[in-house]
Amino acid sequence: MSTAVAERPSVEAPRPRDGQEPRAGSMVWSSARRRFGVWALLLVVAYLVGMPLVRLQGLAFEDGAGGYDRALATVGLGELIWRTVYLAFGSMAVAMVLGTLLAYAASRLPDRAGFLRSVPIVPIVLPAIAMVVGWAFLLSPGPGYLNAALRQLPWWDHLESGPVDVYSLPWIVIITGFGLTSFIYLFVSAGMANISADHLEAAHVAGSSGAGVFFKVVLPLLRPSLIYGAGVGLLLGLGQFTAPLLLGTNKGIRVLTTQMYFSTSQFPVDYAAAAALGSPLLIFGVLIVIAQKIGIGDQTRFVTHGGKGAVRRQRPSRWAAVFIAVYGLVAVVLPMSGLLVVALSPYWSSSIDPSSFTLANFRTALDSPNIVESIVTSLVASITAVAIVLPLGYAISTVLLRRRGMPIARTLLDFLVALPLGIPAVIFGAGFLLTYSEPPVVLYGTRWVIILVYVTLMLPFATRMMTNGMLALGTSYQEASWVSGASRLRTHLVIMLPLLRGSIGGAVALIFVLLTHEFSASMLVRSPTTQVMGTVVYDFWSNGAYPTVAAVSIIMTAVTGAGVVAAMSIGGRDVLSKL
Amino acid sequence: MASVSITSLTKRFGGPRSDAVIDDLQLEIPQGELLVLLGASGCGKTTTLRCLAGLESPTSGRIELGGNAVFDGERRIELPAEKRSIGMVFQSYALWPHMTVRKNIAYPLKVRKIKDGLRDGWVEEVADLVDCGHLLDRYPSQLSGGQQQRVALARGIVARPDLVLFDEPLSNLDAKLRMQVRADLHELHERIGFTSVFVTHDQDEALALADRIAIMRSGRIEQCAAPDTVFEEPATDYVAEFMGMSNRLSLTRGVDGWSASGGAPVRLPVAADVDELTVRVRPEHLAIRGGQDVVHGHQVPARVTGTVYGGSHVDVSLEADGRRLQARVETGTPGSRAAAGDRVVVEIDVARARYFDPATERAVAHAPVPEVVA
Ligand SMILES: Nc1ncnc2c1ncn2[C@@H]1O[C@H](COP(=O)(O)OP(=O)(O)O)[C@@H](O)[C@H]1O
Ligand SMILES: [Mg+2]
Repeated sequence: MSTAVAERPSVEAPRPRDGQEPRAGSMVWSSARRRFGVWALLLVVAYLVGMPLVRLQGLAFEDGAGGYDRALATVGLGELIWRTVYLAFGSMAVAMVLGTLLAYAASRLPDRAGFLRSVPIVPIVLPAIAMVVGWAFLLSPGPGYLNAALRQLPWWDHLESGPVDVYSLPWIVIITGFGLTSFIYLFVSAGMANISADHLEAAHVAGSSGAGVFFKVVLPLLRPSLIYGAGVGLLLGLGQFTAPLLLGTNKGIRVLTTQMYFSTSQFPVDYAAAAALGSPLLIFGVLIVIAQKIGIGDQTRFVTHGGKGAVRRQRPSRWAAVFIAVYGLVAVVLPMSGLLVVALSPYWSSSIDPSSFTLANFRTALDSPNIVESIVTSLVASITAVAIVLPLGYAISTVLLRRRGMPIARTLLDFLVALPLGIPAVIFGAGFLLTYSEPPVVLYGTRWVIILVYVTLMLPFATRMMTNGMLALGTSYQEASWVSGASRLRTHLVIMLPLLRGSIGGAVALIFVLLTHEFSASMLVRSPTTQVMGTVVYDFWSNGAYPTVAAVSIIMTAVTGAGVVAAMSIGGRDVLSKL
Repeated sequence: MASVSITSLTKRFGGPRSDAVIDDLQLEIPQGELLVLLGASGCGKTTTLRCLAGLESPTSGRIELGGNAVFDGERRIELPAEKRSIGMVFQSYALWPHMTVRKNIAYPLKVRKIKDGLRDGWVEEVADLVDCGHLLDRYPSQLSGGQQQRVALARGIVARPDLVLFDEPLSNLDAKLRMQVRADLHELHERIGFTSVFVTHDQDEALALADRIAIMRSGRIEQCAAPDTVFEEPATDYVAEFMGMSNRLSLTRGVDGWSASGGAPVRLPVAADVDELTVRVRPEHLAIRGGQDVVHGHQVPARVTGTVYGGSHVDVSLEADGRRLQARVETGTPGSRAAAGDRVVVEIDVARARYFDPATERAVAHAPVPEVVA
């Protein structure tokens, strides 16, 4: 050890900080700056999330609530509401049963089959519109492949069409339910992870069968997660748009969301009535978010439960693996196969002829400037939105995780950020359409309105993922940087960003995936010249160009799949369950 | 380096009526002193340290660093952590895993723009000082716990801050390493003499390192004095217990002297006008006698409830009149052969016991010679 140091007991060491004596009032100054930052952030979020909703209601109440008057005069309003509620409860019930069974099965997977845990989450990351179209190819009463196969059975061989009619409310409910199953699965898995394996083992030891344990032990212990999951399932079910739009339109099976869409896109266009029709969904969503914020939910924000897929050890069962595998086949592989067959066939008919398979549909699609442009728009809008929403989410997380000061601003921010989870995307789409087709900011017809609505929809996810990353990192790394003399900004750039790069990478990929197949909000804010992949698929669907629909859906799924692979390689295999 | 002055510091985490975690705390730390904040878990040590660092906002009071206020509740001054000249060593070390040891240590110099330090090799100097000169190009994850601890220490002192703060930095090390790092730290402080506040709940660590020890209890300081003073002359019953005087007896004044119930009256070296006393004695200062031995001090009949062999000593648990006592006797003495169930007489070394007023819990004055105040 050097003696030089010993002789230089830094008493008189140069003092680089001379002349920076603290001033009286510095507390006021530095906290004023920070306050300004937080309020500015709040303003941005309030404008993004709140403005469209406010404009919607403003319009609905214009001219002595004319929008409400006309909405109430909608032909068949009672049936419309009944169908919406039926869809919500029905799909929630389907999802609850499947999601709970899947979560229980996932908790009993043998080690070798551990990868199956991600299977029930796959439908979240696949484009919903592709899945719906895939089901239609299978279960359409005439040329549906599955229907054709079923008609080979002796007791159905007299049928000309059917036996299943996918263009009916029950099947819309079932297909929607498949989509919601993933969310329930995430919730129940999270709840399952909190059940002590001892309870279950005790029951096994006491001689209960697997089913006995499930009904007598697991279900009662899961009651809180189940109730919570049912609430979320109901909320999501109420806002469903894709399946009712694609499957219900021909026979006029409309629900509130699709009626809203038609009010903004078909003669007679009536934005005010559309806004009024969305009000029940809006109010319900806001109430749920408020209840969730003040209720038991504390840290855990709904839809974004960090479920790990029941990690506790339980007696493994082969049947669990079989069950999940079969579910994966039915819910994912089957509709995707339907898509693929149509995409490869010259036209869609009930018989499959592998010898006629061709890539012509893909060539046609990629030769069409409209389709190529929609793919470009989807990619550009998604990437730009990711680039905007992640810094926003980072800043919001930083503010929300700060424990002291500005309780009102933080509560407001927390509430506003959660709103896009509770309020259906269609309503945000309508709000953005309204807000940005009129001065002062006219963005309709440009990519920017799509980008802004994407940013808004992804705010909760971005914030949640950043918050999780920061919570996992803890506060001591940044505190060590502050006490070393680094400014807040420098600490974020040099310490926090590099340490959070895993979380950030995972979030980038996941949000990108969710955005490339965004459909509901896109349908409302698109213009004839600015389309995204999903809306183009819908247009071809409406025109009956089924092979093109299939080809574009496959391309969409491929883009998404690339994103998922990226997400998993950056964020680890568990990244999907972090949603 | 600079002196530290804390005046009426108060911190509440809840509203004005919540309990104060730091309660009107006063403390003066002269330049170059290593002050140890010692106290049971939850007494507010970390919170005090974080207030000094600027990581926590005090509710009221005043903190001066080198004569300049860094916090003043009345004048509304609060310097953020990065503007205070401090170094801090965290319990978890908090070394940045994405930077090499060299970058970790150089960071405070870089962000504070201390060009001299970067040019003159302060980083290497301080790394050598903590025996980590050969580790500079490794990443923290490639170091052992003890090495990480030393690097954290180097990072804390490299910029020669006015004040270095330690929050239980040794608690994650195993016992042997803890002793060694403790000794090195002591030597380092002797050599370069930084002003520092060191938080711990371990009394041995406090005794070994401190220039002065401040014993904290519920957000207040019970006693602040040199280690030998705190050890020999605890100011309160609480400090006495915390510093290892685990045996507690109550005595009442009688006609013939002080006595516990069941014991013979005895003359005590106290000069106080109280009628009751709390006596505190270390286990080492209790002796175990057979029935007929010569009487030296105050005696209490007791029953042995258990013994633990400790090599050079034996720890004997006793029960006297419903009260539990602990004696530590040298192996080989007659007392060390006691066995559970034996009836013995416990003799208290009255000169080395300490006496407290049960009403105020404060120490009562010694008298130079044993006297009976009757
Ligand atoms: N951020 C906080 N919010 C609320 N209470 C806290 C917080 N930090 C510490 N406390 C409380 O303050 C008391 C003192 O904590 P601390 O200073 O960490 O004690 P020590 O370091 O002495 O163990 C404890 O009762 C603790 O629960
Ligand atoms: Mg502590």
